[in-house]
Amino acid sequence: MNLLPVIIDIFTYGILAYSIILLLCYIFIGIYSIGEVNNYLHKNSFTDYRILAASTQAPSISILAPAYNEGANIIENVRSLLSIHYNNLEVIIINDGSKDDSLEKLIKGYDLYKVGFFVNQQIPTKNVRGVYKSHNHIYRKLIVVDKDNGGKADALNVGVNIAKNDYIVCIDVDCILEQDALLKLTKPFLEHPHHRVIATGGVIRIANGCEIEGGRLINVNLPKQFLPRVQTLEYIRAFLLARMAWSRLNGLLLISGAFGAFDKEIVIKCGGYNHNTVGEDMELVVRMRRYMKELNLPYKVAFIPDPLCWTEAPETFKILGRQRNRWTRGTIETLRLHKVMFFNPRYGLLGMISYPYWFFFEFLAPIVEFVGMAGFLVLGILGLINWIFFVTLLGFIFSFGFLYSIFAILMEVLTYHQYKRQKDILNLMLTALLEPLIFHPFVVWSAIKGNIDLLRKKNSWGEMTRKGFTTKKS
Amino acid sequence: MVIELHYFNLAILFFIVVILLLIGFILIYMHLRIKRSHKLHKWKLMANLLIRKAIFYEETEDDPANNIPITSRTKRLLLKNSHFRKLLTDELLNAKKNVSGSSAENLKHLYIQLGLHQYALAELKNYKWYIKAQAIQELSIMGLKENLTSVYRFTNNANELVRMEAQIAVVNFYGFEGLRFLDVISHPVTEWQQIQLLHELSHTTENFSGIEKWLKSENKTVVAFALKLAGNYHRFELHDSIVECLEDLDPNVRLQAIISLGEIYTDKTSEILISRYLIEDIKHQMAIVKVLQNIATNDDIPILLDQLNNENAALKLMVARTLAKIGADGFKSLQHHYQAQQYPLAEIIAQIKNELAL
Repeated sequence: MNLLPVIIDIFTYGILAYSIILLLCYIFIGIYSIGEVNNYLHKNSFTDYRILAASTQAPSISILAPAYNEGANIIENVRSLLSIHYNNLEVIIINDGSKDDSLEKLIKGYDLYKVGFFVNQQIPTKNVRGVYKSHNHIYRKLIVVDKDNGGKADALNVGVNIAKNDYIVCIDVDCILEQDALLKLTKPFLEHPHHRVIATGGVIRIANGCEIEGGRLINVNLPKQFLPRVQTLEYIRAFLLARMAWSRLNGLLLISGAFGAFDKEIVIKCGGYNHNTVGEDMELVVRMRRYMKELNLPYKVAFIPDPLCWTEAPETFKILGRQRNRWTRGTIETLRLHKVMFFNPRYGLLGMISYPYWFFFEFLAPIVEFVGMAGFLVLGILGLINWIFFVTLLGFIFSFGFLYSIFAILMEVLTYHQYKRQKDILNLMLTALLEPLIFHPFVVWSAIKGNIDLLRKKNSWGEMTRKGFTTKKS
Repeated sequence: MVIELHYFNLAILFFIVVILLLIGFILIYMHLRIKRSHKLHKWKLMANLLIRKAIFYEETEDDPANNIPITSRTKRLLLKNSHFRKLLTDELLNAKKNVSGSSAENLKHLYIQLGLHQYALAELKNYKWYIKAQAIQELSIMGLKENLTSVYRFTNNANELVRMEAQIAVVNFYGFEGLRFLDVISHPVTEWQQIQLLHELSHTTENFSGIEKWLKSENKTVVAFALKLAGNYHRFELHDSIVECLEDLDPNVRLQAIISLGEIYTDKTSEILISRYLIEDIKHQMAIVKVLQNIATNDDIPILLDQLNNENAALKLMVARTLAKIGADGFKSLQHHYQAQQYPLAEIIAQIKNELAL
């Protein structure tokens, strides 16, 4: 008996079944997110955030912003953080052993002096060289910490050790925050009397092409370059659809490292950020959830669809490749560290749905796609597969992907409507059409390289060079 | 594979049709939105003109009904166009939030004169929660106290937002008196709602009663809120009732009781808190030590010095700060502690010194 046709059939139908299940998941996510976004928008229309900003009863917040070689813009970035209007706030900048003049600039710019400070080593970290405060009363909220280089996770852990407030907000120092971002991120902590809200996150948007002035977003524009533009679309899909759906299920595993708030007590009890992974943001959320689940404590990870934070996306394939490579390694490392949850009913939805979804459709998806595509091409070249079938299957996947992107654009237009010109929306649609041909294959390839790098035990972050934001000319 | 291909082709065709429909919808929607935005701009100007007129309107003897002049175009638009009505209502509400005195009264008058309250009252019967909540908020901002009965019944509504808006409305109408919904409320009063209620209450200065009853409520969030009220409004007569709350099984109630005692302490409070300290968990111990920063005396120094031996460094720091805040004797005893030259107390003392210097 010739086994080859059987193997080919298993391969073909296997890929087909996988694709259909993935498509069904996307359909579910798309539909399920609508209710959550809708509900949030209705609820939010009643909220007067000024009340929260001025209240002495508002939760106390420590903003933690690690900085490594950010000397070029550090003064402006810190000024932007200090301008946040919130009653119970401290801003902690952690200089993670920068090789540039970041610290000197901060000392000069904010009239800092070294203070005697007890660093409570609740989470073990690299050596703290000094803690600085300002002579100037205007900057009384500011604390600058200088430490030996240990990476982002280690810097954040130092911040957690230093923070005196109940909640920590971790932010990339070069992010641009919306005016009410902190208030919106804080409110969910106050809304659930029967569940402890352990973390909240909001939507991150792409700032490339936007007009920025004095650390504030003045004008939202669609990026002119293809790569940032396609990432704009990707972020809309991920944040407005996927994360909202997972939030509604209370199964969210990831709060973006660029901007997220956490219950400090739980963070400390969980041991803080893991500096042995490059996906420390996801790993912390998973560990916190696991901790709450193991203690059988009712909890929630909240997510809000408001665009809160604008960040610069990679503009070159080189930088983008490094970023996606790192994201892949971070995902795999997190899944590996918490493999005990895989289809483990003890962890409820977390173990039975969230974890398996990430395993099958985030970790495995690029591998299946790569193997599938390569396999079909080989079979096609050898004349062992019906080309019409192959092209039809590709068309099926392609048209669904395009439909899903158009649906995400529709949601964006109906909800936040950040890109107001028809030309921009048409441009996004065209980008959605091109994405599967240019961007997606590259992302899949970067993920494969991430897998290979992980097997080779490469665990570097990969340098992320940023160009800086467009500043409005006066 | 012929059958499968057939199905796939159908699916692709279906996807393409849906894509085209969605694209068409998006483009038409955006076009209409842009077109409407021009109209909205004009309407906004009209609404603001009318609001300005109302704000500066002065009574005349010619018109006993004291009606604010309204153009026939505005009246016509109001009758036939719900978008204009919504915009005018929103503008009126925004303006009302920012003015007071006779100007605010004029805006209320205009709101009623335009018959907008009738729409709000009708919306109270709407089955959609957000429309109902919006209507309650509208009546509240406009200060239509005469509709208290219609609004009050929503204060224990199953929907959180409807309930919250109704509670805020009755407090807005009647100040502390409006808090009587706390007597019967079965749903939790969230922290966020408590902040909003305290904000509403900050506008009123009258005396109020009822806290004692709420301190004994079965609803633990009501007890926590009552504790906040007692502390914020310095109701010293409730000191003993609050002390009883220190025994409560609910940790949030105990925590709030500790914080409130920091606001209405007597000469016995520190002793009571210290006795409670020994049986509490670390979170509550920290809260007690923090409260003691303002109320502890030299008599409490020995017991606080004992706590410097606690293994929890955060607590140790808090205790040291409290000792320093007691006064010169406290700080001196801290500096003379047998661990004062060792880690971590040496660093803690350095930090405290720095804090005191600020």
